[in-house]
Amino acid sequence: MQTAASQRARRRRVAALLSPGLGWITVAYVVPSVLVFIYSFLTPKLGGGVIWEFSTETWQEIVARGRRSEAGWGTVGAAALRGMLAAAAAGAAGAAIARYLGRGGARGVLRAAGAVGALVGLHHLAIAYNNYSAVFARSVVWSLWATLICAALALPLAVFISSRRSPLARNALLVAVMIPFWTSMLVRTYAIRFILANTGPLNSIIEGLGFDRIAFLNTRFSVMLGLVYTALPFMILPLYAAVERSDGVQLEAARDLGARPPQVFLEVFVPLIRPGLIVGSVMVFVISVSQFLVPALLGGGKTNMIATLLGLQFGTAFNWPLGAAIATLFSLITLLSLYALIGRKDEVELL
Amino acid sequence: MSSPTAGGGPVRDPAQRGAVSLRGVTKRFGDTTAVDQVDLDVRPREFISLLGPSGCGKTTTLRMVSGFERPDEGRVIISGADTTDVPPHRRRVNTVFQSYALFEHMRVAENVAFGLKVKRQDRETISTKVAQALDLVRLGELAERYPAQLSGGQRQRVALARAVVNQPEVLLLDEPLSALDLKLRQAMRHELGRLHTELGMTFIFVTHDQQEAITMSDRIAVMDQGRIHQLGTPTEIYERPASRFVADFIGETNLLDVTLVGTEEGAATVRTPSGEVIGRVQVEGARTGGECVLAVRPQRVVVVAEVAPEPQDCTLFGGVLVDLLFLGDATRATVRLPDGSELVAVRHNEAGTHPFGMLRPGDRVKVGWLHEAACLLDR
Repeated sequence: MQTAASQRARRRRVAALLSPGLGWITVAYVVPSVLVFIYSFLTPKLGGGVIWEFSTETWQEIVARGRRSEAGWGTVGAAALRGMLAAAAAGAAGAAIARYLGRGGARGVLRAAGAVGALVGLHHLAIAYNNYSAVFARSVVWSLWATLICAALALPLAVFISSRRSPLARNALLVAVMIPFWTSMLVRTYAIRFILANTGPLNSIIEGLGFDRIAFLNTRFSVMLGLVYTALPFMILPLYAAVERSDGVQLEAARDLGARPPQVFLEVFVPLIRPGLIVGSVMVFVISVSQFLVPALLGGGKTNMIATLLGLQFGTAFNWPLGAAIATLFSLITLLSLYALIGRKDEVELL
Repeated sequence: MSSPTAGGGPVRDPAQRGAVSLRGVTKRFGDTTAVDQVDLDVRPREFISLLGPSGCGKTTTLRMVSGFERPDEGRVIISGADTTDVPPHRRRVNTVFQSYALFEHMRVAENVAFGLKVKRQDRETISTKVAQALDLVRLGELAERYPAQLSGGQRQRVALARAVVNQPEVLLLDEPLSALDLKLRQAMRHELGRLHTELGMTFIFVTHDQQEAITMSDRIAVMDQGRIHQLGTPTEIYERPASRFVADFIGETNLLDVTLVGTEEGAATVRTPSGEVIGRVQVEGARTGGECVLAVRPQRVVVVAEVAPEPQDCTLFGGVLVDLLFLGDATRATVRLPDGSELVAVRHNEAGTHPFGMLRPGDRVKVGWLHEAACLLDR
């Protein structure tokens, strides 16, 4: 039996082991977050910094003002309509898939369709509301797209790598996935910029083939390319680990029981690698939603994301309270998005 | 062109339902030949075992029946239809995997329902059939559990229920008992026998455990190095092994190198290296001479004191008792012959008596066997 004294000693040891990490988090995360929250209620000082004078001016600017002239009840109606259309489309697609797979799951289909519809409606509403909400909505939706694209690209790669027989080939491929980490993000983004530029190698090839040059740079395409490129390894690695750990005989069992390949994939393979999919999605989403370099260098300022807007307030515009307010909202939205992405408790445990 | 019908279409000949024929089936992996020109005819509703050491090709043979391997040569015929090129999910064959391969993210009932669901059977049919299958393996009350919450034996039963609920024409079992402990394994042997009788489907059972094969099978195919060495009932395989490999692999066997002297009327006379001549040895097929192996089961070996009178129909020769080993239900005696080779005898222990009388290690003894107990094999 454990005595009270030994229990106390044990608790002290645990506390001693935890305290450096907890201390670090407190100094580097909790204190700045609180400070940022406080700053958002102060008065901006010309040329940067703040005047210690309470003001709700900043929050009024973000929430109530900066509204776009065309935003009105018509916009709300249009957004709701789009949301409903998206929900109907998603529901029809989901029902068709469920029917093809031969399973009920009506509630799951309805829930997924509702989520898609709500997302689309909110997105349009946010884009129409004001410049700030538009940037937030764009960041979240683009990051979701980047997550989807990364998952679609990474899954075949992860399966391919893990299906290599020789450990040497597997390791070589994994290293190849990680090689980009060895070079600075800044350098790599400039390299993409160079490739996509109007006078860059890609356009030279296109012109050589007899087509007109295409303006790749400073478009949605170039930003999405940059987001996916940057985050892809963070999807491949957890997916690879999940595929590697998964019990391949279960796939054979499914085939043996009469499941066609799409059924095997959706009903057995995806659930098997679900932990890796969740971890990868969270990483890609968090990395994308906070991207600064990609929208700044590849989006050319036309397509701001949250982090570029933030940088603008602290750097060029010297409105620190506004930047602080955006940062606070940013943390909030990231947390909410993660909660929506990860959802229930049992899945958090998988992390 | 019509597609092969084993995928679920009408079976051409109802009498062929559940029959499996392998015709000259060969499977190579790189340089190694896993299965080498195997011919096998499994009768409908038969319990047949593929028995052999690991790497003998028995699992590969099974996987060609289930469709996970495609033979490089030969044809696989299931229920009278050529099924060689039919993918696994379209064969009316189900497998119980060695590791069970249960779907860990589904409850027991969902696992069992999977095969019916993917074939889009309606909900009532599915729930009735699942309940029946779970009752069959006595797991009804665990339907809502997840596989991770089950014991090894229970997982095994789920795997069985998941396979048989589809009413396959052939059930393939890939070493399904090897992950269980001894007690459970023995219980599951009876269980499998009962299921085979109740379900009336063909069972093809892969195992390396001769005891399992002997106790459960109608027939056994003994395999080694990709070939079937012998196909026969458990009694035939045990009493009349067709080759040295079969004699050695099934049970314990004494193998003596001998020279054939002559044969007459199905009985042979042979000479041991130390010079004894043994007559009236059973011979399968005609052998004209040369180097052979004599196989005798330890249960059939007689060990008596040197002074004891010679029993009838028995050739005895001298030796020294070198070891007596108590095995619990039996005692094992080792006798060394003058040429240095050893013979093993096993006797059941009866209450209150010593199976080898008063013999002690070191005693000079006479050893031999009833004539019909030995058989002659190629070396």
